[in-house]
Amino acid sequence: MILFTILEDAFWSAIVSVGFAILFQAPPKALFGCAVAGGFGHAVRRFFITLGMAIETATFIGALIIGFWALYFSRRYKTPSTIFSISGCIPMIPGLLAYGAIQSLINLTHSTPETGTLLLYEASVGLIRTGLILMALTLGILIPRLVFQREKPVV
Amino acid sequence: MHVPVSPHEVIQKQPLPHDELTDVIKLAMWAGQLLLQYGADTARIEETIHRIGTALGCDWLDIIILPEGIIATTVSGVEFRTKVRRVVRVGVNFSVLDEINHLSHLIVQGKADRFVTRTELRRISNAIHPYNRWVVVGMVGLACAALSRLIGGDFAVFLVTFFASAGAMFIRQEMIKRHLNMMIVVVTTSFVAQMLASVGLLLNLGENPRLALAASVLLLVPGVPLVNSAQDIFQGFFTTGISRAINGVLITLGIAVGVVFASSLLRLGGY
Repeated sequence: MILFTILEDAFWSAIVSVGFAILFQAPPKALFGCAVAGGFGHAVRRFFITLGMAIETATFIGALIIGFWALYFSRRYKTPSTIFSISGCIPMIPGLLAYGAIQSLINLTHSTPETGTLLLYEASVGLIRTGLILMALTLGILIPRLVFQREKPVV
Repeated sequence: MHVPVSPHEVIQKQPLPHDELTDVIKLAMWAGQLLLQYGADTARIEETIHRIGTALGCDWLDIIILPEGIIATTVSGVEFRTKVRRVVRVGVNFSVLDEINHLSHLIVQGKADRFVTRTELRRISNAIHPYNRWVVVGMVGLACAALSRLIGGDFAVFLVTFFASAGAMFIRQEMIKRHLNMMIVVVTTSFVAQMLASVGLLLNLGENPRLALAASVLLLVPGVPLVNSAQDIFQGFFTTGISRAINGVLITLGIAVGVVFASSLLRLGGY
């Protein structure tokens, strides 16, 4: 059952990655790599979340996986690794969290002190979590590149 | 290929005549301009300009990359040339980055001289788009619909999200074609996506129609500016890094403005 959930997850996130790769006009030879990186990363995150890990940590691990796949595909297809890592990380963007936080912020403008406390709490938690997940995401996809793709500096 | 490690190293290259030096700096900065326009990170731009310049016969290049342009100096023997190139950012195109990457390897391997480089750069600057606009509209709709599945939407939400974000993408392309201001494009696209997705809310389609509202604006997420900005800042390019971060934050705020505007309109209808 868990396996099925994770496979379904990988399928949809691979579609998301390919869709955004096409939006960014990625070369057609790179689309397969984007699908693999995005699908793997999000499935790994889902796996760790079902094990009970916090979403921020799970995002970081998933993003690391995407970063390593991006390095591999960048060497295989001889193309910049950014193409794979940026398209691959899009499925993990915390859209729902950010959306909920913004909704709470709007509702705050016409609330009473009693309802407002809860709304302020929801908005701040949502914004902080969105920020943390985004940071985990960018760090995760950058670290493999900064550590393993060091060429002799030419400048 | 010999790459000099400092401008003071003894260099065994033939000094280039003045007109050839002019040509080399023009070509190297042309490649850099395309990279900056279409969303490369700053380290890649600097390295590419340097590689192309030295491979075409210069001894050394000094390059400064700003968010609005590139300043570079080429040195060959006792001659040097300096040039400023203004760059206007036009969007993201990974195919251009791939082609320039390929071209710079050809130049370094000696398989492309100045003349081949010029022809290739001219071909690349006539904006390469491997996908036509309807493929992009359809795939962006599908991608946002798949995102709505990932956040727990059912089949009705999937369909609503597909049409909402495909429609919003179409409007976005039309506005970009008419050269509208970037922020106006973002706010309007986000607003259109919200209004289209709210059809699901009005007709009460699916178990949680609000998921379509959250997923349909995700076609605007500033993934490229934010990731590039983090990478630039990590590698010490603070000027471009901070300007890209501001760009990303502005786009995010623009999405929020569209959402707020749409939801206050919907509240008039009691939703």
